[in-house]
Parts: sequence; C-alpha cells; structure tokens
Amino acid sequence: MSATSPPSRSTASLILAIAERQDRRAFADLFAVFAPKVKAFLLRRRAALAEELTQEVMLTVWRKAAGFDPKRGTAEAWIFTIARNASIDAARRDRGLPLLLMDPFASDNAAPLSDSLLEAAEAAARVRAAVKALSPEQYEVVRLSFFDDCAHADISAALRLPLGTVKSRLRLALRRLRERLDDLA
Amino acid sequence: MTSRHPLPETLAALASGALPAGARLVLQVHLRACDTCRRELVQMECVGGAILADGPRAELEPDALDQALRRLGEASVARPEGVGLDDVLASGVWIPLGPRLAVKRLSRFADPGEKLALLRAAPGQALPEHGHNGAERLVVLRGAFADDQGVYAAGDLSERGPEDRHQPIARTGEVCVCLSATEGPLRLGGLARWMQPLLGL
Repeated sequence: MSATSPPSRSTASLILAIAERQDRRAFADLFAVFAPKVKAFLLRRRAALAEELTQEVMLTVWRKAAGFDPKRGTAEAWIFTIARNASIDAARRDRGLPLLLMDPFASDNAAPLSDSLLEAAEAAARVRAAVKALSPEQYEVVRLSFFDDCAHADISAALRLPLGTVKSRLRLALRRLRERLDDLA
Repeated sequence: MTSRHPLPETLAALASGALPAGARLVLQVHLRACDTCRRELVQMECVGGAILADGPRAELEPDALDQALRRLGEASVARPEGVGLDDVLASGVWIPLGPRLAVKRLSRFADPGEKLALLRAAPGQALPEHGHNGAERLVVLRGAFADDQGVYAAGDLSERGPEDRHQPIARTGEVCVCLSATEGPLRLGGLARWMQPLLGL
C-alpha cells in the first residue's frame, strides 16, 4: 500500500462519498490527488487542452460517481478510462469526426459500492503490487504504453531497442501481469 | 464463446487508448461475445489505473480546484455521448460487388488513415484476395469464413500484419458478414484492384 493513499481514504471511498452524499470535501481530496496526475497524463496526449480536459475529467468523476462499478475494475482504473476517453474524444472532435461510445458494456445498475469497498481497496493494492513486481525494463515498456500512449515503434525509438525486443518485452510483461491479476475481475 | 481472440498487446492497446477507432469497433464486436477478453481488458485498464496513480504530477492553474468546485452545481452539459456500435453497424448502404458479395463503407467512423467496412459474402463466396499496408482486424458478425489459418465463426477475430496476404472464403450454408478495419489502404489482388477506387477501400 502506498504512503500517499491511506486505506481510510482510498480512492474508492472518496468516490463512494461523492456518489452517496455529493460530498464536496471528498471531491476536493480526490482532486488534490488525481487532477495533477490526470493533467500529466493528458499533457502527453492533448497538450494544448490538458488543463481544460482535466477539469472535464474531474467533473465527469463527480457526475458519474454513482456509476462506478467495482466489478469493472479498480477506482484508479475508472479514473484512467475517463481520462483516456476524454483524450480520444478531444482528438475526434478536433478532426470533426463523430464521437463513438467507448464502453458498450458499462452497466447502469452498478452494485452498491459500500458493499465492496474493502475489496475495491484491496484490488487497487494488488494491481499496484503486480505492476511494481515487474522488472525495471518491463515496467518501462508498460509505462510508455499506458501513460505516454506510445506505439511500439515509438517505444523502440525512445529506448533505442529493436522493435522485436520491445514487442517481446511488452508481451512478457503483459503475461506476468495477467498471471498476477487472473482472479481480479 | 469464441475461440479466436485478439493478441494480448492488442487488448493492452485498447485499454491504453492507442488503438484507432475502427479497430476499437472491431474489438467491441469480439468483446461482446467473449467474457475472457472482457475480463482481460478490465485487468489491463487496472494496470493503466496503477500507472496513472504512480505517475508524475503536473502543475495546475492556481484556481483549478475553485473552478471545478464552482462548476459542480452546474446542470451537466448535455454533450452527446457518442455513436454506439449497433448504430455504426446499422448505418451506411450496401454496395453490391457482383451478385454474391457486398460492401458497406463505414470509414467515417474510423480514424484518419484507417479503413472500416462491413463485408457480406454469399455461402462459399471468396472475399477479394488482399494484403494490407498496416494491420488488419476482421471479426465475424454472422456465419463463418475460412482462410489459411482455419475457420472463424461469429465473434471470432482475425489479426493480420502488413505483408500478410490472405483470402477468406465464406463457409457454405450461410451468408457471412464481417467487420474489417485496416490501417492504411488494402492492397487488393485480381479484378477487385481495378474497382478499388470505386469502392473506397
């Protein structure tokens, strides 16, 4: 468990407080932790719009808090997908392309989060541990894939590695993650 | 339950947002039929969440939180949520390519540089033999086809790299409908090559 997120105020519990009683204090806490991270993420993808999109992402978190479904992954993953979708929608909007529904499987009737708050926090800790257990080389290709939105060719250029090495390293890293996360979802 | 799945790195690219829109729609057809890949996608999104949570922080505008708090009470701006998979599949018009083959262009839903199309082949009919400049992802919506890799039934997904020519043939007994997304234009062989500009493929 990381020092920056004590279990008493896990990401999932903050989202629950927003969902159940529109808790502005919980939102401010969540904002303090995640808005700077969301902005750093968006700077890699839609730099010119990063500040504006960060606002949009955090407001979406507020509005859709009741729809967070711990069966569909960790609270951190939920915020990640909102930020990812915002950057994809912004790119489509820029080009005048129709926006596409990103998640046709999202359930409207999520299980009450309070029932599974502990599981949600434990799941988040497990995912973090699985990611941290990767070798530094594997962690780097995974980080570049997920955070920097790098294609395999970009990773190969950034790390000065042959494309085949990048692909096999990423594949190995993904296999290790899957083994460790197999019973998660 | 389907038996032919996307590569792990393709699911990771879907989770990270790196996959172009057309390929994403093809994957969605498979995911609808495949619990295993849906679970793996969730795992990959969890990895994305952990990377985000452990990632760097960027400095926000000094009044960013105040701005956000002020906007919490606003009625949600009714921004259109986007076009769903079924609406994409239902749009467009079928263009006959002879009596036994038809194509529906859907590239306006794809990303620039990508082609998206529905293909409909009569039982036993071969799709045009083709190669691609980039990856092709093909998923079966109805019926089944076979190529040199075997048989693909409803929900099954085929991923082909560049330089990878193949010729899917619809199985006998049933019409086959597939959704195809390619990065870069197709390189058609035979007669279809001459018709390519007309087809917009």
